[in-house]
Amino acid sequence: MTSNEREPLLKMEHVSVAFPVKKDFPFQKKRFVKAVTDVSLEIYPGETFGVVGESGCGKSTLANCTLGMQRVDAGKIFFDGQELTAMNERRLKEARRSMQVIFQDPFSSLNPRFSVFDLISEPLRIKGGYTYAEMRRTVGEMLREVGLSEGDMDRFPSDFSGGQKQRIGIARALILKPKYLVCDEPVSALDVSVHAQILNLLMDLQEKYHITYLFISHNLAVVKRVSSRAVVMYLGKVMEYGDVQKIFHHPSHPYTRALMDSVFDVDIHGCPRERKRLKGEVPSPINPPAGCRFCGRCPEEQPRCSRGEPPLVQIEEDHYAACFLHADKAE
Amino acid sequence: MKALEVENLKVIFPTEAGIVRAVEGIDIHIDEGECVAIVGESGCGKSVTSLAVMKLLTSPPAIVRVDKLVLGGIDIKDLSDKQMQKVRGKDVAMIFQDALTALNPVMSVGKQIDEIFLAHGREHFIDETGKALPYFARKKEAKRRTIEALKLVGISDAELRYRAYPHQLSGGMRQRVLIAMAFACNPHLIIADEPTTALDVTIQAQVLDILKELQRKQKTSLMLITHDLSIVMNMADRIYVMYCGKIVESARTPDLFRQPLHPYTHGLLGSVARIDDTRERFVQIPSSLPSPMHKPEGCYFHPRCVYATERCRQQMPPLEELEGGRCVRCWNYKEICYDKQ
Repeated sequence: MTSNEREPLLKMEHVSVAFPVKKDFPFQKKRFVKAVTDVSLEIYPGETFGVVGESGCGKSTLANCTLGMQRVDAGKIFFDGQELTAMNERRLKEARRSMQVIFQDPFSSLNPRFSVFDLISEPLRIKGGYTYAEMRRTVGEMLREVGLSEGDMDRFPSDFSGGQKQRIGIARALILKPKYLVCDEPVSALDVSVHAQILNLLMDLQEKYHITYLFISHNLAVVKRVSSRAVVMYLGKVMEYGDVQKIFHHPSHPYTRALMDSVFDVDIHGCPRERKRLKGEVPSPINPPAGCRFCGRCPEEQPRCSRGEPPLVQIEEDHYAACFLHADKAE
Repeated sequence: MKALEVENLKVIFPTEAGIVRAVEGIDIHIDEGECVAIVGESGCGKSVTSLAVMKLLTSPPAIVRVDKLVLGGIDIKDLSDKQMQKVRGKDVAMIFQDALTALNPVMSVGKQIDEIFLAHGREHFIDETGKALPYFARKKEAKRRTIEALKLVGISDAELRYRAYPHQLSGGMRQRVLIAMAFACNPHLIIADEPTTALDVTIQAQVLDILKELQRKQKTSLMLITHDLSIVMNMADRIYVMYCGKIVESARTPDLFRQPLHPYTHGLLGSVARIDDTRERFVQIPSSLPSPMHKPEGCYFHPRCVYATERCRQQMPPLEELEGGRCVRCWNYKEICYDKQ
């Protein structure tokens, strides 16, 4: 990979976010949900960066941070060379022009009282400087780009199926030609037969416009297919990070291995694989386990795991894991 | 004996906008101890089928017609609502998708499972002399069984959880409670409607393991309703694929995955992302599901089918029976040969 020589589009340095929890009684000590803890990563232009993890592991909070929609408690975020975390609202608004989001549920992310034209042209109207005719033309072009027709412009979201609604969502996100697009579980609310259509469309558009994607999903197989680099998160911490092929071919963190083992896989030969199951459930992020976050569920736990947090160490080029199993080798 | 026999089931919903033919004459049979999956996308009629089997569809609005509906040897076709209440929970049970809405929020989960024993297991509550136990002794016995059932589905501290309310449990735990409930009276058939869609992958794996293990141990038949082919492949013995209210293909699981005959099944299998996959693009089925009110002429799948011929546009193909218990509803399945992936 040549990614290391390039300048990253988005860079996070030791980012942490914590949400205060309501007190149960007046003099209780303040408690926090540690949504994201000490996350550092780099996303390079034109790549698809996958974020994998179970619900509650901080995937969406991470994405919100990169969009400047979530205040950061510690750490810095750089977007396109500028420090996002140091910007005021006005400058953030400027910066956000080149960032967009596609949401998980197209049924609730489209205003039912807006026509398709209103929905897609809203970013243009906010940006300003377009005449009505120009907007009509741009929206029409965009609609064709995402596989709808110009005639759909004056219809309403309720006239469309789930897949088509998601296409409208994509058109709205791409109308300002962003550099960076967050796809927050873009297909999980859709029918299985439509998944492939939407994913193929996203990949085609990326090729055409050289957009950088942050692709959030809990479906490991999809992340492996669409992204080039990825991060595996657990309870707000990075467990494994780097090149997707390396993560999937030799997963180094026990959590990544467990996650891959729990995926029910479709095998063309019709024989289910033998697999290890992860015991227990994700602990509460208010009181994460001391030491390594994964200890307690980890099949390869050692006594020292509960004493200190393992550092993120490099295993090979562009492949990092936070586990004591590899900390020794690095030393 | 078959756990379930359904012949020519039709469900129609007349609405103001038009008539929705949700299920159009399907036949399903499930053997004792077998796990059968019904696969299809949303709106294909799979959930309506399961509700019709449970006789849970209220009419009006639903109009249900069926030629034969036999459950574990009992003909339930003409049973009244009151009689059905005795059957549901005892001979057939259901596991719903969303455990939080399926459970009563103001009643502890233990009490909710107790109810099943108290309502159905009257014959179990007798003392040595064959006399029915008094009320409090029955309640005590029900509690003992509930705790046993909770332990069976892998809930730790079952005595403690007995008193917990649904909101105090995690998603995976709630789904386990539903499974414990379904297996409580050891029914002939359990219908699981998307049992793990709301769960995380690691928890999904745990829950499905428990479901499979209990099903094998108690030799219960399982009807699994899902859109997730990867679950089906790991759980089911046999599969029915539904499209627009009709069964388009049925086969034993290994056969279906090795060699899908219907273009729709082939498309579905192709569109699933696999971990060991090296293909560059996803195989996609063009366009989307037709509206249930305006189904196309001829074969329902023809507008999305790349192999469609003139005959497909005009005539609905019959469900043809092949050797090995396979069925397929396609005019051209013999001619179509899919590229080896």
